[in-house]
Amino acid sequence: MAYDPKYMALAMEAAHVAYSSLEVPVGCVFVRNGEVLARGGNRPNASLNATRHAEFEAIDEILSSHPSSIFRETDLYVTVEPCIMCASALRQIGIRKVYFGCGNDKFGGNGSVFDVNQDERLLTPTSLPYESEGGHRREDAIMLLRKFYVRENNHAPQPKKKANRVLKTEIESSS
Amino acid sequence: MNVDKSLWPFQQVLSDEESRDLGTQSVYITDIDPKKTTILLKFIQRQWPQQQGLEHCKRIRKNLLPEGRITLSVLLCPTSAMGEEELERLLNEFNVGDNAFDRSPVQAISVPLYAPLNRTQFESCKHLWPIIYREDTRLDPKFNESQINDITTHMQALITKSQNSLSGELPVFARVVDPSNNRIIAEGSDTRAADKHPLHHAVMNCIDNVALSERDRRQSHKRKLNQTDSLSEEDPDVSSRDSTPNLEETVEKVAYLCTGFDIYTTHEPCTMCSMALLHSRIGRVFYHKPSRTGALGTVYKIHSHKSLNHHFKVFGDVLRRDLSQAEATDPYLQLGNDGNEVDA
Ligand SMILES: [Zn+2]
Ligand SMILES: [Zn+2]
Repeated sequence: MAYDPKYMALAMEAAHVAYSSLEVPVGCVFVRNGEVLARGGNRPNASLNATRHAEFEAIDEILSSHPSSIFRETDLYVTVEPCIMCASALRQIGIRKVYFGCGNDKFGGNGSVFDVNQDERLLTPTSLPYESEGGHRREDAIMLLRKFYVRENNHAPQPKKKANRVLKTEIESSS
Repeated sequence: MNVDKSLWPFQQVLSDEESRDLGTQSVYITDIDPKKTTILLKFIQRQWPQQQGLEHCKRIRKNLLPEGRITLSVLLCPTSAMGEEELERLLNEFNVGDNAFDRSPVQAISVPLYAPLNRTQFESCKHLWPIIYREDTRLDPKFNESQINDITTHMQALITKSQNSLSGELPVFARVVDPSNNRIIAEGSDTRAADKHPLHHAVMNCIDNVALSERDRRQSHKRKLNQTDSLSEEDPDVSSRDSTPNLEETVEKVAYLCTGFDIYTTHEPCTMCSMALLHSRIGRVFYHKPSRTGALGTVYKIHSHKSLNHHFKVFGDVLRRDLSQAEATDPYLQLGNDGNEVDA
C-alpha cells in the first residue's frame, strides 16, 4: 500500500491527544487495506509504565479482537520514528510497512540508533524485517515535540538555572 | 568483605569499549642520549603543539643497553602525519647549533590505538610501548558474600521454575528485586501462547507487574489519605495534608519506576525487552543463558551503548560457571532448534 497522507493526519491527531494528556506527543494508527484498525497515543504517565508507547497501546487493542496474523497486511503510520523497543515489537508482530514523521535521535530503532527493522542478525521464525519510510509531516511532528518540551521545562518544579526555553520554530533540513 | 571477581558465579557483560582489542597505530620514534631530551621535546612542542590520539602513550621509553648505558626512545608523531623522509629533513633542519644532538634514524613502531580502560586491556598492550594507565576500581561492581547468596537464590528459583514449566509456553522467567532489602517486587513469565500475544515476553510482563503493584500502592496510599481526611474534622492538623496526587511529581517519577531495582531472567532479553528495561531505568540485569538474538551482549549492548541516555550493569552466565550444570539445564531452556531460536 502506498503512503496515504490522511492516515498520517489521524496519527497527528492521536499525538495531539497525547499532548493534551501531558504525555510525550507521539501518535499512531494501524491501517489494513484502507481500514483503520486502531489508533494509539503515548501513555507512560497515565499507566505508570514507561513501556506504554503509542504503538503498544494500539497493538494491544488490535490483538484483543484479531489474531496476530492480521499484521501481515497492516501498515503503521506513526508521528515519530519507532524507538528501539517498538521497532523490535513491530518485527515480532510481523508488521508490513512503517511510515513515520520525524526521526528519533535518542532512541530510534528504524535507522537513527540501530537498524532494528532491517538487522539480519535479529531474524527468527517470528521476527521478520520490514520496510520503513520516514519524513512524512516531519516538521509538524517536531514542532509538537518542541512545544511539549518547552511546556515541561517551564513547569519544572524547580526552575532550571538557565532561562526557560523558548520555542524554536526553524527546522534544519533533513539529512 | 567483597568476593573476588574470579569467584563470582557470573560475569559482567562489558561494553565494547571495555572489552575490545585495543588495536595498534604506527608511530615514529628516534633514540637519543638522555641529556638531549629537552632539545628534542622542544622540537616536538614546536612541530606538533597539539597531538591527538596519543594521550595514553608516554612520550619517552627508557632503554637499558647491555653495557649499562641508557638511551631514550622518544615518540615523535603518527606515521600518518608525514613521510619518513620529510620527518628526517625537519629533524635535520632543527638539529644545528645549540640544538645539535645525536640521534638514531627515525623508525616506525606500533603503539595501542585506544587507551586501556581496565587491567585486562592494559596487560594486553603494555609490551608495545609505555602506557599511561591509572587503575580506578572505585566504580567497579562489588559483591559481598551475602549479596552473592541472594543473587544465587533468585536465579536458582527461576531456573527451577523453567525446568518445571509444563505450560506450553516458552520457559522464560523474570523477577524484579529491590536489592536494598532483597524484596521481590514483581515476577513475570512468558505468556505468548496463552494470551495469543507475541509481545507478552517474561520481561514485559514483569515490568507490567511492577507498574501494577505501584498503581496499587498509590491507590491504597490515596485511600489512607482519604480516611485521614474523613477523620480530619476531629483533628484539624491532618486536614492540611494534600490528598490529590501531584501531577508533576507523577510525570517526574513514572519513567524511573525500576530505578535501583535488579531484574533476574533465565534468558538474555531480546531487543524489545532490553529497551523496555532501559526505558524503565532498571539498575542491574542478571541473566542465566545468552540468547541468539539477545540485546544485552549478543547482538547489541543496549546497556552500554554510547548514544543511549541510561547505562546499566549487566551480568550474564549467572550460575552457568559450572559447565555440567549448564549442560544439565540447557535442554529445558531451549527456545527453538539450532539457528531457529525465537526472541526471549
Ligand atoms: Zn517506542
Ligand atoms: Zn523479549
